[in-house]
Amino acid sequence: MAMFHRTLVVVSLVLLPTLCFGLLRRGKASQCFTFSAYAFAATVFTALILAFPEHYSPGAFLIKQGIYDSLLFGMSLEMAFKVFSAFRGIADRVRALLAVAVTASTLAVVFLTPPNPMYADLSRFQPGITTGGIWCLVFVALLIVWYQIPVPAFTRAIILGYVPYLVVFVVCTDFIGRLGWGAIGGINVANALAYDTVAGYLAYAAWRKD
Amino acid sequence: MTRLPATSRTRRGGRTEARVIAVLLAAVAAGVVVLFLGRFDRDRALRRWDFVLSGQAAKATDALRTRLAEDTDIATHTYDLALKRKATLSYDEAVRLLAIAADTIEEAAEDRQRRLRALSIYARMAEAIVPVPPVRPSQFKLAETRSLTSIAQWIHEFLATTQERFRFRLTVIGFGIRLVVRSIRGSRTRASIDPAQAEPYQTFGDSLHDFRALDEEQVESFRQLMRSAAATERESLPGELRQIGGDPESDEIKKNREK
Repeated sequence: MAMFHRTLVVVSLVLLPTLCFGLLRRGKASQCFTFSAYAFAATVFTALILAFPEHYSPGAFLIKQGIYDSLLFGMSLEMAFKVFSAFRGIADRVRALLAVAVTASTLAVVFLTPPNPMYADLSRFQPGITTGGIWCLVFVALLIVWYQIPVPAFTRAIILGYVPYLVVFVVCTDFIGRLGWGAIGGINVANALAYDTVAGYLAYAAWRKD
Repeated sequence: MTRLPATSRTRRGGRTEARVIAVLLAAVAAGVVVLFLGRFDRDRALRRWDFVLSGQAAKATDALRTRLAEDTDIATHTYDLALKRKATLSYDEAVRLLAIAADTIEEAAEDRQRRLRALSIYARMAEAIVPVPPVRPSQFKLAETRSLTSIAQWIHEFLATTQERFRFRLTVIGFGIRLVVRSIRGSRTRASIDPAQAEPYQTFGDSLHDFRALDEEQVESFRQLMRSAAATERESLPGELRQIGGDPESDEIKKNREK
């Protein structure tokens, strides 16, 4: 199981740089700088984990996850700003709706995150935080469809790929709480499989000519 | 990569309810994204914007008026023939012609509902909508459509924005069409039961009149929407949209898109 998981991590280390190069080569990095930052951060963290596995401690995981979560919320805000700011007629309404979504998810994060988050309690607070981020992205997606905004294909691919992966991540985190840390091997494999699938899809979307 | 490192501390359970809610909400979110954004067609959205920004309001309105009149003219002609057959006591033939006219209107009603849905989408895309008057009740003959539009006229005043009023107007027209179709079905059934009675034919004629009036209201809504769309400030739109619709470059863009 550990070997299979390691193979999947190596695959992701191939896919993530491919995604980053695709973003730069096709000029899609500017479509969502926060996502580009996420892809870059994920590449660096994955390389570091593979290179120095002994240093990958629960504390390091929490720092990494905190960065990913911040980027996830930033992604929604940046996308909303870039997609809707040009449409003056709806920009005010979208801003108001987004403010509601961000306030609701911020409240959720504030109430769910314990003052001293412990790695052992991950399954108690992480699903709520990620779900808040997911709903911010979903909110942007719904507004795109409602107002018929012809967003670039890669922006659509980010939401369409990233949200389902995050759901898998939420389920995996929840399973830790249910099955205990003894099942971490299988959970890691399921999570890595989903991650590689999405990274592959996004790398393909990044390299595709629109 | 969100790999979870193992830990020696094992804590099972916890607040299960909150966790389940989070997982369920996340699953619903994924379903929503796949269902709505997955089906969202960017090219179709671009075509819609092309239409909204084309600025061919008068031409498009005339084309719509002609298109809508075709169905109603066929139904009215068939209804007139039915009245003639009834006058010559050919009741079977009169009922058959009435059924044909009713089928024509029912098919036309589906088409109208589709158009109203499309208008509702275009209304969201317009930067601002010009003020529209409520649907006038006095032009209708059927009691139900008159009542509907009277209530709607009252509600119209309570709506705050012109966008809301426009979309409410479309809803009223759509509901009015449903009422007219129901009235047509009823009068057809009554005519087949007792073909010598005058009332079903009279109600059928009134329904046709109301259907035509609702068509006119739909055309008027379309005209106002086109006026609103023409006022969209293009300079603020993204480059791709700024160029489409009435722009000399738009043909070239369309060709490129087709390629």
